[in-house]
Amino acid sequence: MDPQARKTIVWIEDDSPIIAPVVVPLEREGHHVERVRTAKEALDKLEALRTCDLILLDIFVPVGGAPGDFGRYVGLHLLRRLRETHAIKTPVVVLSVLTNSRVHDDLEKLDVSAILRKPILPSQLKVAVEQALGID
Amino acid sequence: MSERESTNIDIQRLLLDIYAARTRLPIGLFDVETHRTVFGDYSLECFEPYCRLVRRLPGGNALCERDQRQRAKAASHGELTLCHAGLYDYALPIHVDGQLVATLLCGEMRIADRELDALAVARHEQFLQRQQPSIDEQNALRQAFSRAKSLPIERVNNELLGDLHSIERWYYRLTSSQRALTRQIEDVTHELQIWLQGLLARAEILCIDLERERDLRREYREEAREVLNSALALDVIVQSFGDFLRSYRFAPVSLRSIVNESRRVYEEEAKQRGIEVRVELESVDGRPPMVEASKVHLQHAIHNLVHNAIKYSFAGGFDRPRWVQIAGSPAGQYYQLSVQNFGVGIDPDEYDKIFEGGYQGRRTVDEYRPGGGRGLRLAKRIIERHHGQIRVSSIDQKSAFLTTFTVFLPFIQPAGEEDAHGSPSEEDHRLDRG
Repeated sequence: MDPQARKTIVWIEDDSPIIAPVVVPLEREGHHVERVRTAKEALDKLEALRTCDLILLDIFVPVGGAPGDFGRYVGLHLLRRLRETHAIKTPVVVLSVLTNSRVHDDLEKLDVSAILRKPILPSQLKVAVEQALGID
Repeated sequence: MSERESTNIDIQRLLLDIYAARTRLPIGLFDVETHRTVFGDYSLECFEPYCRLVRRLPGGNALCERDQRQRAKAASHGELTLCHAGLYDYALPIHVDGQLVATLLCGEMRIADRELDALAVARHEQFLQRQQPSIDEQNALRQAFSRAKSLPIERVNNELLGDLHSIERWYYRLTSSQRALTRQIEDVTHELQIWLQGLLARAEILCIDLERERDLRREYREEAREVLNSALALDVIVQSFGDFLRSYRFAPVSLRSIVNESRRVYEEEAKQRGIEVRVELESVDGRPPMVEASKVHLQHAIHNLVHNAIKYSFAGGFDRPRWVQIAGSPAGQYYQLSVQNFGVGIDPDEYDKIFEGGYQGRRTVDEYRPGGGRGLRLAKRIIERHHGQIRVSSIDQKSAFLTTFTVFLPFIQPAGEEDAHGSPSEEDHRLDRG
Protein backbone atom coordinates (compact mmCIF):
# COMPACT_ATOMS: atom_id res chain seq x y z
CA MET A 1 0.00 0.00 0.00
CA ASP A 2 1.10 3.53 -0.74
CA PRO A 3 2.46 4.84 2.63
CA GLN A 4 0.38 7.99 2.22
CA ALA A 5 -2.77 5.89 1.97
CA ARG A 6 -2.07 4.27 5.33
CA LYS A 7 -4.26 5.72 8.04
CA THR A 8 -4.04 5.89 11.80
CA ILE A 9 -7.15 4.74 13.61
CA VAL A 10 -7.67 5.09 17.36
CA TRP A 11 -9.95 2.33 18.60
CA ILE A 12 -11.65 3.14 21.94
CA GLU A 13 -12.85 -0.26 23.11
CA ASP A 14 -12.43 -2.12 26.39
CA ASP A 15 -13.06 -5.58 24.93
CA SER A 16 -10.37 -5.35 22.26
CA PRO A 17 -8.53 -8.48 23.52
CA ILE A 18 -11.70 -10.53 22.94
CA ILE A 19 -12.71 -9.02 19.62
CA ALA A 20 -9.26 -8.14 18.26
CA PRO A 21 -9.71 -9.97 14.92
CA VAL A 22 -12.43 -7.53 13.89
CA VAL A 23 -9.73 -5.02 12.86
CA VAL A 24 -7.41 -7.57 11.19
CA PRO A 25 -8.48 -6.69 7.62
CA LEU A 26 -7.78 -3.02 8.36
CA GLU A 27 -4.33 -3.85 9.75
CA ARG A 28 -3.57 -6.14 6.82
CA GLU A 29 -4.43 -3.27 4.53
CA GLY A 30 -1.61 -1.36 6.21
CA HIS A 31 -3.56 0.91 8.53
CA HIS A 32 -2.29 1.41 12.06
CA VAL A 33 -4.84 0.70 14.79
CA GLU A 34 -4.03 2.10 18.22
CA ARG A 35 -6.04 0.66 21.10
CA VAL A 36 -7.44 2.72 23.98
CA ARG A 37 -9.43 0.94 26.66
CA THR A 38 -11.15 3.54 28.79
CA ALA A 39 -12.65 7.02 28.53
CA LYS A 40 -10.01 8.36 30.93
CA GLU A 41 -7.21 6.97 28.77
CA ALA A 42 -8.82 8.59 25.73
CA LEU A 43 -8.89 11.97 27.46
CA ASP A 44 -5.21 11.54 28.32
CA LYS A 45 -4.48 11.16 24.60
CA LEU A 46 -6.32 14.15 23.21
CA GLU A 47 -3.54 15.07 20.83
CA ALA A 48 -3.55 11.59 19.34
CA LEU A 49 -7.33 11.83 18.91
CA ARG A 50 -7.02 15.20 17.27
CA THR A 51 -4.36 14.14 14.77
CA CYS A 52 -5.42 10.58 13.92
CA ASP A 53 -7.43 9.90 10.79
CA LEU A 54 -10.41 8.21 12.41
CA ILE A 55 -11.76 7.27 15.84
CA LEU A 56 -13.52 3.93 16.21
CA LEU A 57 -15.67 4.21 19.33
CA ASP A 58 -17.67 1.85 21.51
CA ILE A 59 -20.48 3.49 23.46
CA PHE A 60 -20.07 1.08 26.38
CA VAL A 61 -16.55 1.79 27.57
CA PRO A 62 -15.67 2.05 31.25
CA VAL A 63 -14.90 5.43 32.73
CA GLY A 64 -11.43 4.25 33.69
CA GLY A 65 -11.40 4.25 37.49
CA ALA A 66 -12.25 1.10 39.42
CA PRO A 67 -12.94 -2.15 37.53
CA GLY A 68 -16.48 -2.43 36.21
CA ASP A 69 -17.13 1.30 36.54
CA PHE A 70 -19.46 1.55 33.60
CA GLY A 71 -21.72 4.54 33.56
CA ARG A 72 -24.52 4.59 31.06
CA TYR A 73 -23.23 5.34 27.57
CA VAL A 74 -19.86 6.68 28.71
CA GLY A 75 -18.73 6.62 25.08
CA LEU A 76 -21.52 9.02 24.13
CA HIS A 77 -20.50 11.47 26.88
CA LEU A 78 -16.87 11.11 25.87
CA LEU A 79 -17.70 11.94 22.26
CA ARG A 80 -19.75 14.95 23.33
CA ARG A 81 -16.80 16.19 25.34
CA LEU A 82 -14.36 15.65 22.48
CA ARG A 83 -16.59 17.55 20.09
CA GLU A 84 -17.89 20.34 22.30
CA THR A 85 -15.16 20.93 24.87
CA HIS A 86 -12.06 20.03 22.93
CA ALA A 87 -13.29 20.86 19.40
CA ILE A 88 -11.96 17.61 17.99
CA LYS A 89 -13.29 17.17 14.49
CA THR A 90 -11.75 13.78 13.68
CA PRO A 91 -14.22 11.49 11.85
CA VAL A 92 -15.83 9.01 14.23
CA VAL A 93 -17.33 5.61 13.49
CA VAL A 94 -19.35 4.12 16.33
CA LEU A 95 -19.17 0.36 16.75
CA SER A 96 -21.38 -0.84 19.56
CA VAL A 97 -24.07 -3.26 20.71
CA LEU A 98 -26.29 -0.21 20.96
CA THR A 99 -30.02 -0.61 20.40
CA ASN A 100 -31.41 2.50 22.05
CA SER A 101 -32.84 4.77 19.39
CA ARG A 102 -32.61 7.87 21.59
CA VAL A 103 -28.86 7.41 21.98
CA HIS A 104 -28.73 6.79 18.24
CA ASP A 105 -30.30 10.24 17.68
CA ASP A 106 -27.85 11.88 20.11
CA LEU A 107 -24.93 10.31 18.26
CA GLU A 108 -26.10 11.63 14.92
CA LYS A 109 -26.15 15.13 16.37
CA LEU A 110 -22.45 14.70 17.24
CA ASP A 111 -21.49 14.31 13.61
CA VAL A 112 -20.56 10.63 13.53
CA SER A 113 -19.74 9.21 10.13
CA ALA A 114 -21.42 5.84 10.73
CA ILE A 115 -23.12 3.89 13.51
CA LEU A 116 -22.39 0.19 13.21
CA ARG A 117 -23.99 -2.46 15.31
CA LYS A 118 -21.94 -5.23 16.90
CA PRO A 119 -21.45 -8.00 16.07
CA ILE A 120 -20.10 -7.07 12.67
CA LEU A 121 -17.98 -8.98 10.19
CA PRO A 122 -14.39 -7.71 9.87
CA SER A 123 -14.89 -7.30 6.11
CA GLN A 124 -17.96 -5.10 6.73
CA LEU A 125 -16.08 -2.99 9.27
CA LYS A 126 -13.23 -2.47 6.80
CA VAL A 127 -15.67 -1.26 4.12
CA ALA A 128 -17.43 1.11 6.54
CA VAL A 129 -14.17 2.53 7.92
CA GLU A 130 -12.67 3.04 4.48
CA GLN A 131 -15.85 4.76 3.34
CA ALA A 132 -15.64 7.08 6.33
CA LEU A 133 -11.98 7.74 5.47
CA GLY A 134 -12.88 8.49 1.86
CA ILE A 135 -10.83 5.59 0.54
CA ASP A 136 -12.26 3.85 -2.55
CA MET B 1 -48.80 -9.29 23.62
CA SER B 2 -47.14 -11.76 25.97
CA GLU B 3 -49.14 -13.60 28.57
CA ARG B 4 -47.33 -11.64 31.25
CA GLU B 5 -48.31 -8.32 29.70
CA SER B 6 -51.86 -9.50 29.24
CA THR B 7 -52.11 -10.50 32.92
CA ASN B 8 -50.68 -7.17 34.02
CA ILE B 9 -53.21 -5.24 31.96
CA ASP B 10 -56.03 -7.36 33.42
CA ILE B 11 -54.85 -6.48 36.92
CA GLN B 12 -54.56 -2.81 35.96
CA ARG B 13 -58.14 -2.82 34.69
CA LEU B 14 -59.36 -4.51 37.84
CA LEU B 15 -57.71 -1.93 40.10
CA LEU B 16 -59.02 0.91 37.97
CA ASP B 17 -62.51 -0.58 38.10
CA ILE B 18 -62.41 -0.91 41.88
CA TYR B 19 -61.48 2.75 42.11
CA ALA B 20 -64.20 3.74 39.64
CA ALA B 21 -66.79 1.71 41.53
CA ARG B 22 -65.92 3.39 44.84
CA THR B 23 -65.72 6.93 43.52
CA ARG B 24 -67.99 6.82 40.45
CA LEU B 25 -65.23 8.67 38.62
CA PRO B 26 -63.68 7.56 35.34
CA ILE B 27 -60.00 6.72 35.68
CA GLY B 28 -57.35 5.78 33.15
CA LEU B 29 -53.67 4.84 33.28
CA PHE B 30 -51.65 6.53 30.55
CA ASP B 31 -48.43 4.74 29.57
CA VAL B 32 -45.78 7.28 28.53
CA GLU B 33 -43.87 4.90 26.22
CA THR B 34 -46.74 3.27 24.37
CA HIS B 35 -49.02 6.33 24.49
CA ARG B 36 -51.89 4.03 25.34
CA THR B 37 -54.42 4.67 28.07
CA VAL B 38 -55.85 1.67 29.87
CA PHE B 39 -59.40 1.94 31.18
CA GLY B 40 -61.41 -0.63 33.03
CA ASP B 41 -64.84 -1.61 31.75
CA TYR B 42 -66.56 0.12 34.66
CA SER B 43 -64.38 3.22 34.23
CA LEU B 44 -65.64 3.62 30.70
CA GLU B 45 -69.21 3.58 31.95
CA CYS B 46 -68.40 6.45 34.31
CA PHE B 47 -67.49 8.83 31.49
CA GLU B 48 -69.36 12.11 31.64
CA PRO B 49 -72.06 12.56 28.96
CA TYR B 50 -70.29 15.86 28.17
CA CYS B 51 -67.08 13.95 27.35
CA ARG B 52 -68.92 11.51 25.13
CA LEU B 53 -70.45 14.39 23.18
CA VAL B 54 -67.07 16.09 22.77
CA ARG B 55 -65.53 12.90 21.41
CA ARG B 56 -68.35 12.50 18.90
CA LEU B 57 -67.56 15.82 17.26
CA PRO B 58 -65.52 15.63 14.00
CA GLY B 59 -61.91 15.09 15.09
CA GLY B 60 -63.08 15.16 18.69
CA ASN B 61 -61.54 11.86 19.66
CA ALA B 62 -58.13 12.82 18.31
CA LEU B 63 -58.28 16.17 20.12
CA CYS B 64 -59.16 14.50 23.42
CA GLU B 65 -56.39 11.91 23.03
CA ARG B 66 -53.82 14.56 22.21
CA ASP B 67 -54.90 16.75 25.11
CA GLN B 68 -54.81 13.77 27.48
CA ARG B 69 -51.31 12.84 26.31
CA GLN B 70 -50.00 16.36 26.77
CA ARG B 71 -51.43 16.72 30.28
CA ALA B 72 -50.25 13.26 31.32
CA LYS B 73 -46.69 13.93 30.15
CA ALA B 74 -46.59 17.45 31.61
CA ALA B 75 -47.72 16.48 35.11
CA SER B 76 -44.73 16.76 37.42
CA HIS B 77 -46.58 15.98 40.65
CA GLY B 78 -50.16 15.19 41.68
CA GLU B 79 -52.23 18.10 40.46
CA LEU B 80 -55.53 19.19 39.01
CA THR B 81 -55.35 19.67 35.25
CA LEU B 82 -57.96 21.35 33.08
CA CYS B 83 -58.79 19.59 29.85
CA HIS B 84 -59.20 21.35 26.52
CA ALA B 85 -63.00 21.22 26.82
CA GLY B 86 -63.31 22.53 30.38
CA LEU B 87 -63.35 19.59 32.80
CA TYR B 88 -60.82 18.85 35.52
CA ASP B 89 -58.82 15.66 35.93
CA TYR B 90 -56.55 14.82 38.79
CA ALA B 91 -53.20 13.77 37.28
CA LEU B 92 -50.89 11.62 39.37
CA PRO B 93 -47.57 10.94 37.61
CA ILE B 94 -45.66 7.75 38.38
CA HIS B 95 -41.87 7.92 38.25
CA VAL B 96 -39.45 4.99 38.24
CA ASP B 97 -35.69 5.61 38.46
CA GLY B 98 -36.35 9.32 38.04
CA GLN B 99 -38.24 8.81 34.80
CA LEU B 100 -41.94 9.40 34.17
CA VAL B 101 -43.42 6.04 33.12
CA ALA B 102 -47.18 6.55 33.49
CA THR B 103 -49.82 8.96 34.72
CA LEU B 104 -53.12 8.22 36.40
CA LEU B 105 -55.84 10.53 35.20
CA CYS B 106 -59.20 10.59 36.93
CA GLY B 107 -62.16 12.83 37.42
CA GLU B 108 -63.75 14.54 34.43
CA MET B 109 -65.33 16.93 36.90
CA ARG B 110 -66.04 20.50 37.73
CA ILE B 111 -64.75 21.80 41.02
CA ALA B 112 -67.06 23.51 43.52
CA ASP B 113 -64.75 26.47 43.89
CA ARG B 114 -65.58 29.84 42.36
CA GLU B 115 -62.19 30.61 40.85
CA LEU B 116 -61.49 27.12 39.59
CA ASP B 117 -64.95 26.79 38.10
CA ALA B 118 -64.66 30.17 36.37
CA LEU B 119 -61.55 28.88 34.62
CA ALA B 120 -63.40 25.76 33.58
CA VAL B 121 -66.33 27.72 32.18
CA ALA B 122 -64.00 29.99 30.23
CA ARG B 123 -62.19 26.96 28.77
CA HIS B 124 -65.54 25.40 27.82
CA GLU B 125 -66.58 28.57 25.96
CA GLN B 126 -63.22 28.75 24.17
CA PHE B 127 -63.66 25.15 23.12
CA LEU B 128 -67.08 25.86 21.63
CA GLN B 129 -65.75 28.88 19.76
CA ARG B 130 -62.89 26.84 18.26
CA GLN B 131 -64.94 23.82 17.30
CA GLN B 132 -68.00 25.73 16.06
CA PRO B 133 -70.47 22.87 16.45
CA SER B 134 -73.98 23.13 15.00
CA ILE B 135 -76.64 24.88 17.05
CA ASP B 136 -78.10 21.58 18.24
CA GLU B 137 -74.69 20.21 19.14
CA GLN B 138 -73.83 23.43 20.95
CA ASN B 139 -76.99 23.30 22.99
CA ALA B 140 -76.40 19.68 23.90
CA LEU B 141 -72.81 20.42 24.88
CA ARG B 142 -73.77 23.40 27.05
CA GLN B 143 -76.45 21.41 28.77
CA ALA B 144 -74.17 18.44 29.40
CA PHE B 145 -71.44 20.74 30.72
CA SER B 146 -73.82 22.43 33.13
CA ARG B 147 -74.86 19.00 34.44
CA ALA B 148 -71.33 17.65 34.84
CA LYS B 149 -70.66 16.54 38.39
CA SER B 150 -69.08 19.14 40.60
CA LEU B 151 -66.97 18.09 43.58
CA PRO B 152 -65.71 20.11 46.53
CA ILE B 153 -61.93 20.38 46.47
CA GLU B 154 -61.78 18.91 49.98
CA ARG B 155 -63.38 15.73 48.75
CA VAL B 156 -60.86 15.47 45.96
CA ASN B 157 -57.98 15.91 48.37
CA ASN B 158 -59.26 13.87 51.30
CA GLU B 159 -61.31 11.08 49.82
CA LEU B 160 -60.22 10.39 46.32
CA LEU B 161 -56.45 10.45 46.56
CA GLY B 162 -55.95 7.61 49.02
CA ASP B 163 -56.92 4.84 46.62
CA LEU B 164 -55.19 6.62 43.79
CA HIS B 165 -51.90 6.32 45.65
CA SER B 166 -52.50 2.58 46.15
CA ILE B 167 -52.75 2.10 42.41
CA GLU B 168 -49.68 4.28 41.96
CA ARG B 169 -47.67 2.16 44.38
CA TRP B 170 -48.71 -1.10 42.72
CA TYR B 171 -47.81 0.19 39.27
CA TYR B 172 -44.47 1.49 40.54
CA ARG B 173 -43.55 -1.93 42.00
CA LEU B 174 -44.61 -3.70 38.82
CA THR B 175 -42.66 -1.37 36.51
CA SER B 176 -39.57 -1.44 38.74
CA SER B 177 -39.43 -5.23 38.70
CA GLN B 178 -39.98 -5.33 34.93
CA ARG B 179 -37.18 -2.85 34.42
CA ALA B 180 -34.87 -4.86 36.64
CA LEU B 181 -35.62 -7.96 34.58
CA THR B 182 -35.05 -6.03 31.35
CA ARG B 183 -31.69 -4.79 32.63
CA GLN B 184 -30.64 -8.31 33.52
CA ILE B 185 -31.57 -9.53 30.06
CA GLU B 186 -29.70 -6.62 28.49
CA ASP B 187 -26.60 -7.43 30.54
CA VAL B 188 -26.66 -11.08 29.50
CA THR B 189 -27.25 -10.34 25.83
CA HIS B 190 -24.56 -7.67 25.89
CA GLU B 191 -22.06 -10.19 27.25
CA LEU B 192 -23.13 -12.79 24.69
CA GLN B 193 -22.73 -10.27 21.89
CA ILE B 194 -19.19 -9.42 22.87
CA TRP B 195 -18.08 -13.05 22.73
CA LEU B 196 -20.11 -13.57 19.61
CA GLN B 197 -18.27 -10.65 18.02
CA GLY B 198 -15.01 -12.42 18.74
CA LEU B 199 -16.35 -15.67 17.31
CA LEU B 200 -17.70 -14.03 14.15
CA ALA B 201 -14.50 -12.11 13.56
CA ARG B 202 -12.32 -15.20 13.99
CA ALA B 203 -14.63 -17.28 11.78
CA GLU B 204 -14.48 -14.80 8.93
CA ILE B 205 -10.72 -14.35 9.17
CA LEU B 206 -10.38 -18.15 9.12
CA CYS B 207 -12.52 -18.33 5.96
CA ILE B 208 -10.49 -15.59 4.29
CA ASP B 209 -7.19 -17.27 5.19
CA LEU B 210 -8.31 -20.75 4.12
CA GLU B 211 -9.42 -19.39 0.73
CA ARG B 212 -5.79 -18.53 0.08
CA GLU B 213 -4.64 -22.08 0.83
CA ARG B 214 -5.25 -23.58 -2.60
CA ASP B 215 -3.81 -26.96 -1.64
CA LEU B 216 -6.29 -27.39 1.15
CA ARG B 217 -9.20 -29.74 0.58
CA ARG B 218 -12.42 -27.99 -0.39
CA GLU B 219 -14.33 -29.64 2.49
CA TYR B 220 -12.19 -27.75 5.05
CA ARG B 221 -13.04 -24.42 3.44
CA GLU B 222 -16.72 -25.37 3.37
CA GLU B 223 -16.62 -26.38 7.02
CA ALA B 224 -15.12 -23.01 7.90
CA ARG B 225 -17.96 -21.31 6.01
CA GLU B 226 -20.51 -23.37 7.91
CA VAL B 227 -18.90 -22.23 11.18
CA LEU B 228 -19.29 -18.64 9.99
CA ASN B 229 -22.91 -19.20 8.97
CA SER B 230 -23.68 -20.78 12.33
CA ALA B 231 -22.13 -17.80 14.09
CA LEU B 232 -24.22 -15.45 11.92
CA ALA B 233 -27.40 -17.37 12.76
CA LEU B 234 -26.49 -17.30 16.45
CA ASP B 235 -25.99 -13.56 16.17
CA VAL B 236 -29.57 -13.07 14.98
CA ILE B 237 -30.96 -15.24 17.77
CA VAL B 238 -28.96 -13.41 20.44
CA GLN B 239 -29.97 -10.01 19.07
CA SER B 240 -33.59 -11.02 18.91
CA PHE B 241 -33.66 -12.63 22.35
CA GLY B 242 -33.23 -9.53 24.48
CA ASP B 243 -35.20 -7.33 22.11
CA PHE B 244 -38.09 -9.70 21.82
CA LEU B 245 -38.72 -10.12 25.52
CA ARG B 246 -39.47 -6.44 25.78
CA SER B 247 -43.02 -5.17 25.41
CA TYR B 248 -44.29 -3.96 22.10
CA ARG B 249 -43.52 -0.25 21.69
CA PHE B 250 -45.14 1.30 18.68
CA ALA B 251 -43.64 4.26 16.88
CA PRO B 252 -43.28 5.36 13.23
CA VAL B 253 -40.69 3.12 11.62
CA SER B 254 -39.16 3.13 8.17
CA LEU B 255 -39.86 -0.14 6.36
CA ARG B 256 -36.81 0.50 4.25
CA SER B 257 -34.56 0.50 7.33
CA ILE B 258 -36.04 -2.79 8.47
CA VAL B 259 -35.58 -4.45 5.10
CA ASN B 260 -32.06 -3.08 4.68
CA GLU B 261 -31.08 -4.39 8.10
CA SER B 262 -32.27 -7.90 7.16
CA ARG B 263 -30.28 -7.69 3.96
CA ARG B 264 -27.18 -6.57 5.85
CA VAL B 265 -27.47 -9.39 8.36
CA TYR B 266 -27.93 -12.20 5.82
CA GLU B 267 -25.98 -10.85 2.86
CA GLU B 268 -22.83 -12.78 3.66
CA GLU B 269 -24.66 -16.10 3.90
CA ALA B 270 -26.48 -15.33 0.66
CA LYS B 271 -23.21 -14.46 -1.07
CA GLN B 272 -21.65 -17.73 -0.02
CA ARG B 273 -24.57 -19.59 -1.56
CA GLY B 274 -24.30 -17.62 -4.79
CA ILE B 275 -27.56 -15.79 -4.13
CA GLU B 276 -28.14 -12.11 -4.79
CA VAL B 277 -30.47 -10.25 -2.43
CA ARG B 278 -32.43 -7.60 -4.31
CA VAL B 279 -34.51 -4.88 -2.68
CA GLU B 280 -37.06 -2.72 -4.49
CA LEU B 281 -39.41 -0.73 -2.28
CA GLU B 282 -41.72 1.74 -3.93
CA SER B 283 -42.22 5.08 -2.26
CA VAL B 284 -45.61 6.30 -1.11
CA ASP B 285 -46.42 9.67 -2.67
CA GLY B 286 -42.73 10.25 -3.13
CA ARG B 287 -41.85 9.36 0.47
CA PRO B 288 -40.29 6.25 1.99
CA PRO B 289 -42.93 3.83 3.32
CA MET B 290 -43.49 4.24 7.04
CA VAL B 291 -45.44 1.96 9.37
CA GLU B 292 -46.51 2.21 12.98
CA ALA B 293 -44.48 -0.65 14.39
CA SER B 294 -42.71 -2.14 17.34
CA LYS B 295 -39.40 -2.11 15.54
CA VAL B 296 -37.62 -4.95 17.26
CA HIS B 297 -40.56 -7.29 16.77
CA LEU B 298 -41.22 -6.39 13.16
CA GLN B 299 -37.49 -6.69 12.45
CA HIS B 300 -37.58 -10.19 13.91
CA ALA B 301 -40.44 -11.17 11.61
CA ILE B 302 -38.77 -9.81 8.47
CA HIS B 303 -35.45 -11.41 9.47
CA ASN B 304 -37.27 -14.73 9.60
CA LEU B 305 -38.77 -14.35 6.12
CA VAL B 306 -35.53 -13.19 4.52
CA HIS B 307 -33.43 -15.88 6.18
CA ASN B 308 -35.90 -18.58 5.16
CA ALA B 309 -35.84 -17.30 1.58
CA ILE B 310 -32.04 -17.60 1.50
CA LYS B 311 -31.94 -20.88 3.41
CA TYR B 312 -34.45 -22.60 1.18
CA SER B 313 -33.09 -21.27 -2.10
CA PHE B 314 -31.25 -23.60 -4.37
CA ALA B 315 -27.63 -22.53 -4.54
CA GLY B 316 -26.65 -20.34 -7.46
CA GLY B 317 -23.87 -20.77 -9.96
CA PHE B 318 -22.38 -18.95 -12.93
CA ASP B 319 -24.93 -20.47 -15.31
CA ARG B 320 -27.76 -20.39 -12.80
CA PRO B 321 -28.30 -16.93 -11.32
CA ARG B 322 -30.26 -17.10 -8.11
CA TRP B 323 -31.82 -14.24 -6.24
CA VAL B 324 -34.03 -13.40 -3.31
CA GLN B 325 -36.26 -10.47 -4.12
CA ILE B 326 -37.72 -8.18 -1.45
CA ALA B 327 -40.25 -5.89 -3.10
CA GLY B 328 -42.82 -3.48 -1.77
CA SER B 329 -45.62 -1.28 -3.07
CA PRO B 330 -48.71 0.47 -1.73
CA ALA B 331 -51.93 -1.56 -1.95
CA GLY B 332 -54.83 0.60 -0.80
CA GLN B 333 -54.46 1.30 2.91
CA TYR B 334 -51.76 -1.32 3.21
CA TYR B 335 -48.17 -1.59 2.15
CA GLN B 336 -47.52 -4.90 0.44
CA LEU B 337 -44.10 -6.37 1.14
CA SER B 338 -43.11 -9.60 -0.61
CA VAL B 339 -40.12 -11.87 -0.09
CA GLN B 340 -39.57 -14.17 -3.04
CA ASN B 341 -37.09 -16.96 -3.82
CA PHE B 342 -36.40 -19.85 -6.18
CA GLY B 343 -35.95 -23.05 -4.28
CA VAL B 344 -37.38 -25.88 -2.31
CA GLY B 345 -41.04 -24.85 -2.48
CA ILE B 346 -44.17 -25.49 -0.42
CA ASP B 347 -47.13 -27.65 -1.43
CA PRO B 348 -50.54 -25.90 -1.47
CA ASP B 349 -52.01 -28.16 1.20
CA GLU B 350 -49.29 -26.92 3.55
CA TYR B 351 -49.91 -23.19 3.14
CA ASP B 352 -51.78 -22.94 6.46
CA LYS B 353 -49.79 -25.62 8.27
CA ILE B 354 -46.41 -23.89 7.94
CA PHE B 355 -47.72 -21.09 10.15
CA GLU B 356 -48.47 -23.57 12.91
CA GLY B 357 -45.78 -24.19 15.46
CA GLY B 358 -43.46 -27.14 14.96
CA TYR B 359 -44.45 -27.92 11.35
CA GLN B 360 -41.86 -27.99 8.61
CA GLY B 361 -42.75 -28.23 4.94
CA ARG B 362 -42.28 -31.74 3.65
CA ARG B 363 -39.87 -30.51 0.98
CA THR B 364 -37.69 -28.71 3.54
CA VAL B 365 -37.01 -31.42 6.04
CA ASP B 366 -33.44 -32.43 5.38
CA GLU B 367 -30.23 -32.17 7.30
CA TYR B 368 -28.81 -29.29 5.26
CA ARG B 369 -31.59 -26.87 6.06
CA PRO B 370 -32.24 -27.29 9.74
CA GLY B 371 -35.05 -25.39 11.32
CA GLY B 372 -37.43 -25.94 14.22
CA GLY B 373 -40.56 -24.95 12.29
CA ARG B 374 -41.47 -22.21 14.77
CA GLY B 375 -40.21 -19.10 13.03
CA LEU B 376 -43.18 -18.58 10.73
CA ARG B 377 -45.71 -18.99 13.50
CA LEU B 378 -43.95 -16.26 15.45
CA ALA B 379 -43.64 -14.06 12.36
CA LYS B 380 -47.37 -14.40 11.71
CA ARG B 381 -48.22 -13.47 15.30
CA ILE B 382 -46.00 -10.40 15.10
CA ILE B 383 -47.54 -9.27 11.83
CA GLU B 384 -51.06 -9.76 13.15
CA ARG B 385 -50.12 -7.75 16.23
CA HIS B 386 -49.28 -4.98 13.76
CA HIS B 387 -52.81 -5.29 12.32
CA GLY B 388 -51.35 -6.90 9.20
CA GLN B 389 -51.62 -10.20 7.31
CA ILE B 390 -49.22 -12.69 5.79
CA ARG B 391 -49.84 -15.01 2.86
CA VAL B 392 -47.78 -17.53 0.91
CA SER B 393 -47.79 -18.95 -2.58
CA SER B 394 -45.38 -21.40 -4.18
CA ILE B 395 -45.46 -22.01 -7.94
CA ASP B 396 -43.77 -24.93 -9.64
CA GLN B 397 -41.38 -23.58 -12.28
CA LYS B 398 -40.08 -27.03 -13.25
CA SER B 399 -36.49 -26.71 -11.98
CA ALA B 400 -37.48 -24.93 -8.79
CA PHE B 401 -40.44 -23.41 -7.00
CA LEU B 402 -41.02 -19.65 -7.02
CA THR B 403 -42.16 -19.05 -3.44
CA THR B 404 -43.53 -15.71 -2.30
CA PHE B 405 -44.37 -14.64 1.22
CA THR B 406 -46.47 -11.47 1.13
CA VAL B 407 -46.97 -9.26 4.16
CA PHE B 408 -49.66 -6.57 4.26
CA LEU B 409 -49.07 -3.82 6.81
CA PRO B 410 -51.18 -0.71 7.38
CA PHE B 411 -48.89 2.14 6.53
CA ILE B 412 -48.73 5.70 7.86
CA GLN B 413 -50.27 8.08 5.41
CA PRO B 414 -47.96 10.94 4.42
CA ALA B 415 -48.38 14.09 6.63
CA GLY B 416 -51.55 16.07 6.20
CA GLU B 417 -53.80 13.10 5.69
CA GLU B 418 -53.83 11.68 9.23
CA ASP B 419 -56.99 13.33 10.55
CA ALA B 420 -58.97 12.62 7.42
CA HIS B 421 -58.12 8.95 7.06
CA GLY B 422 -57.35 7.93 10.60
CA SER B 423 -53.78 6.70 10.68
CA PRO B 424 -52.84 3.62 12.66
CA SER B 425 -51.26 5.81 15.34
CA GLU B 426 -54.53 7.60 15.85
CA GLU B 427 -56.36 4.28 15.97
CA ASP B 428 -53.92 3.11 18.56
CA HIS B 429 -54.67 6.10 20.78
CA ARG B 430 -58.42 5.91 20.43
CA LEU B 431 -60.46 5.54 23.58
CA ASP B 432 -60.46 1.73 23.78
CA ARG B 433 -59.92 -1.03 26.20
CA GLY B 434 -56.10 -0.97 26.23
